[in-house]
Amino acid sequence: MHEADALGGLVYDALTSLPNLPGDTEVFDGGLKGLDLLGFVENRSRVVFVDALDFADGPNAVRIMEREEVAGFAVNFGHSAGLPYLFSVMPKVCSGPLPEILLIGAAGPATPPLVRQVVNGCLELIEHGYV
Amino acid sequence: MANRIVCDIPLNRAEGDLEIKVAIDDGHVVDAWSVGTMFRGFEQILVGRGAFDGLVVTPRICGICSTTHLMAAAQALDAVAKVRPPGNAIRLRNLALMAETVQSDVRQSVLMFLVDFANPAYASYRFHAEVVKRYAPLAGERCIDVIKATKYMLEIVSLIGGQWPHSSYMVPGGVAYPVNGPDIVSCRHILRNFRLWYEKNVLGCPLETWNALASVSDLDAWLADKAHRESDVAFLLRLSKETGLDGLGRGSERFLSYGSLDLPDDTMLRSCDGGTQLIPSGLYEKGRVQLFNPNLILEHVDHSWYADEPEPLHPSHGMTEPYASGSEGKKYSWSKAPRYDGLPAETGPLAERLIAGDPLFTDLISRRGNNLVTRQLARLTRPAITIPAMETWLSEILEHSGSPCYTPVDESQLEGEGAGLIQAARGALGHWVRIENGRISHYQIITPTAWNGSPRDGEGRRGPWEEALIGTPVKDPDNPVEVGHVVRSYDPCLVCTVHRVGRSGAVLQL
Repeated sequence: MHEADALGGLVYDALTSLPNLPGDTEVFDGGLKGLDLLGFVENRSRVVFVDALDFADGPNAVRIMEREEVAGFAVNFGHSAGLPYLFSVMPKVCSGPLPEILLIGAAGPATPPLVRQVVNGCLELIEHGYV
Repeated sequence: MANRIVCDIPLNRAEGDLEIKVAIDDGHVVDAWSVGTMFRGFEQILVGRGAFDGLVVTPRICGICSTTHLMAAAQALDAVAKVRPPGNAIRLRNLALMAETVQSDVRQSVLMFLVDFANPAYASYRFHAEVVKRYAPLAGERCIDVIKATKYMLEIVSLIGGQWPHSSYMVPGGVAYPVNGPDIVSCRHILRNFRLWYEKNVLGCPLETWNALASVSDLDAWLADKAHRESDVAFLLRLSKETGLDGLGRGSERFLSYGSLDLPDDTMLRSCDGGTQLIPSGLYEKGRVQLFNPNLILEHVDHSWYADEPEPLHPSHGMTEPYASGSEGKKYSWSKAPRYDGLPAETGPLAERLIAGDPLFTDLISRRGNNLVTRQLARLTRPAITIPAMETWLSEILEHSGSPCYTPVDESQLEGEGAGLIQAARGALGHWVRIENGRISHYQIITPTAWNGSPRDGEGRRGPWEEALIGTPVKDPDNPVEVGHVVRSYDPCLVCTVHRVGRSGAVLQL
């Protein structure tokens, strides 16, 4: 397993252990699913994804990307069809209104500082009314 | 959102674990190697853990077919406990597995196989514009329609198992809880809607019409009927004929099924061979079906990155000792090479139809030989067999409402060996477990893709799709779409990153 693959699970653990998430915020562990996350995002207003990415500028970088930008990386369906495929087809297959989507991507091994940085990014988005 | 840097794909890169290397000479594949590029290692994870832990750990092997691993793990523990689940537990287990298989069959056929006809390699064909409109990746009308329709099938797994994927509701002795009547009624509505969609769009005719086809001449007459012309099945057949694919991907003509879907004692459904499973087990070779003997399964590691063994081992004694150094040039895959009675065998929906004695597929193989189109046709039309059986079992669950779904099993008393052998969406799947002192002391798994995508064995024999690639014409080595057709017809449960190695050693990606 790539060290970076632990990122999502560690961020999930950190967020679900916090006592004061707003009541209308839900946290899911989406694992490696791509297209099959569709049911989790339908009929929600805003969704923030967290995923490990390979950035050209090396480890420990954190970036926030919009759905359309990530969708641009989709090429085809396969057993590992990931978030780019989901983000690409969402406008055509979502039941109900299309939710607003952001992706927090982080590069490099899921070290505690990097996990904290991503968790803080999620909390900032919640605090500023995104979620 | 300034200062964003475009990421270097892949996202979700935990897969990406298959390479197909082919040598091309004079425009044809002359040799092939199937390379599993990642070590799985679930067998080691399980050793030393609690007896039931396979029910939670093994569904995580795969996010596409996790229910199949749960079923195999549960049946292995049933065998250790020497317990037979009650009728409704068997039905609930089967229904979830069937729902997962149906969605996989349709998604794979359209989103992974038919999309390849929109490849620029076919730009000069008269069908190209229409195919792009229907099957272009991410945008084709049929691709979008398939995503919409199949997502509801997975709700059946969620209603029965609490979640999908990675549910763990199957336990030795049955299922962890009964499913209430309203949820079963919901499943019936989902299935009814899916059936109507499948008949209209995928088959182009009622299930009964398709299932009545009994010969190649029946199929040709069906295809000539304009009423079916717009269906996905008709497109598969017409596109394959126009492009000459119906002569490719021959592979071996040796087909294996472990058998699957145990029949409850009081069901209306019957096995076609008079046995105890809806999908019969067997080996189909040279037009004959032989009885399946699980003791004839052996795994070779001569060309796999595992420590050498004096002789091939049965999975009940198999070892998983990674050994990636040494033997460079000989060992080339993290997949072992399973063999049945000493030889490679293809597994999957085509094997199931042949061993079940399906007259259409038996005639197709007899007259046209094994090829990638027949293999894919078996997958795309398997729901025509599966859906009516699901309808029957959903009705029977309601008729037997309130009956038990669990036969008690004491985990602390579990000792001994067991095997769970089933048919997953992609073919024969086996889990072999040994429990000692309440702990797992041995666990081995052979997946369908290990059968179909195996490397060479100790005798140097290629695996099924390695063999199927030999002779495949490659018109454009920079876009070897034909190689992709052959491999995808087996529905590999790996990421199909197909590479080509030419005489120069250059590697290209398909």
